[in-house]
Amino acid sequence: MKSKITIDNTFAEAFNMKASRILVTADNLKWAKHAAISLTGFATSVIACGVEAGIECKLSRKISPDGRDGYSILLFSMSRSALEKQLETRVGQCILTCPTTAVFSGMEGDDMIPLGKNLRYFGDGHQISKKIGQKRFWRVPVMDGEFLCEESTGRVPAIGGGNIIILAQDRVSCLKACETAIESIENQPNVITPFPGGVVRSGSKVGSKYKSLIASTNDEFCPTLRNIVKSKLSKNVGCVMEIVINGLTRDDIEIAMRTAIKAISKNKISAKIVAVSAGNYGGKLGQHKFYLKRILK
Amino acid sequence: MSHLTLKPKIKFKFRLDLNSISSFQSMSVNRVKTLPLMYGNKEVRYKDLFKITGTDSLNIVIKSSNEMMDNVGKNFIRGNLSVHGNVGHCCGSEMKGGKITIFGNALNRVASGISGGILRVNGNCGDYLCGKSNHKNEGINDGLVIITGNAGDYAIQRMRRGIVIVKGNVGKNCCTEIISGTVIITGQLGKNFANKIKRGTFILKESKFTKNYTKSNVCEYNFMPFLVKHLNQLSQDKILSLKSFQRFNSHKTASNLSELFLIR
Repeated sequence: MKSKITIDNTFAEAFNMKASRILVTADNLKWAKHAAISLTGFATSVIACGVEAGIECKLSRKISPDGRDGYSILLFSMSRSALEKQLETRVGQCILTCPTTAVFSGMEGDDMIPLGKNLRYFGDGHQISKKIGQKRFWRVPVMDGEFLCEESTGRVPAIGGGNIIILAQDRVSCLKACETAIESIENQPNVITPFPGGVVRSGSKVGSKYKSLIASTNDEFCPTLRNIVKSKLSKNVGCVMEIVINGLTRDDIEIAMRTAIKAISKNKISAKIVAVSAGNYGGKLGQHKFYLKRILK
Repeated sequence: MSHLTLKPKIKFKFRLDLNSISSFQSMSVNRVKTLPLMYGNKEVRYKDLFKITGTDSLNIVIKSSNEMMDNVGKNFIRGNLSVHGNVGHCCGSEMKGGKITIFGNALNRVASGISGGILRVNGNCGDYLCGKSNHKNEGINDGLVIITGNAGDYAIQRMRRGIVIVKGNVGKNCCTEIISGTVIITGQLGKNFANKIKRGTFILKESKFTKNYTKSNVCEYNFMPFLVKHLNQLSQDKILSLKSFQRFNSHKTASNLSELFLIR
């Protein structure tokens, strides 16, 4: 069995983004999860979803704002306006509609964006405002009682697009390695992995031979195209998967990438892992570069 | 750094205006000691009347205080002020931030015109609690006021926002002309309670005030567990427990949009 996996001498290229955190609580964990999953659904990539979102962690009754079970959710977007729009739409359609839920701000920031500020109008004049401390809350009457939401939440600068690419001999071992990596970082604060289960199998490159497309398949990492295009894969690579990590700070992403790679190398599946690489655009697009070898030092 | 502690050297014959305590935060200890103060018709310095020890002016402690000391914590903005003993009139009036704790009773006009911060009186207080300040027509504008004992007459008049908790009884004419805010009273209510109010949330134990309201349907209010947790955290005390509440609303006066939660 191999004790150490090969790390490619490359870097992950990431972008400046805007992020916000919200806390969703409900009568029990089941309904909090329904709300959280619904809100973070179809939020894998800003390319077509407008926002990248994921569950950051579970909230125990001790730390949640209203003493009920809940989840902390992070949302990332390329601009303030897109984040504002997506947050309002998603909270309105996924949290307000979900039984027993309430939503609170999860972060302070110099810049505040609306959370329940406009949703309150759903109350049709029967909404009640409550200012507690420096924060304003809205109580909106709904059919199961009332929906409690904080007026606004903080927006902070963040980084999106940190990643590692796992090159494996076969699909089973590649997926197992990804699952191991995701498990190792799922409780890490300030980061999310927005893709389904944290893993993406359709890594993309910028542009396409078709003019209307802004992104197309990352052919350098497609095992089926190894002999057709200029490939980055060796002969024994049968499957490639990517883990995309968004974080509030550079340190958060570095810790997550390091933890994920170490978890893979410690797992017995590492024998079937050919290498760990990272995705970039030649360093020309993103503002942040995460060199794998430097991170692991 | 140890707390900046003031202890009276003499038994006061005249009333003292101690509103300058709120400006201690920006001063050195030596400056505090030489700060002028009126005692009767004479100007004295703080060190003439108080034994002053410690250096941390963000954490001020007044020991052996008595009801001759007026305006304690007036215009308080930041830091902590602990007062061991009774205090005079206008304690915490026009307070804007920070935390004041009184371990004793207070005379009239506690927290009048308060617009932020936390004020806690571990004892009783006199009339006009959270009332209007001298130059405004509004009572409490924000902040949290906790009275663990009883409050006198004319309390919580013209409240705009904030939270007031009285764990004991309140006197007559309380909560008149309230514009909005949250009032929690777990004792008995005096006569003419909550006259001419516009909005606001009352959480009460005594049921006699419910007669002018209509009973709401029994359902879950997400706001209540949040408020209970928040208040217990802020006060570091179990002020409210998550008992079941009966909500009343729709006051018989059309202009009254207030709601009432009766603690069962």
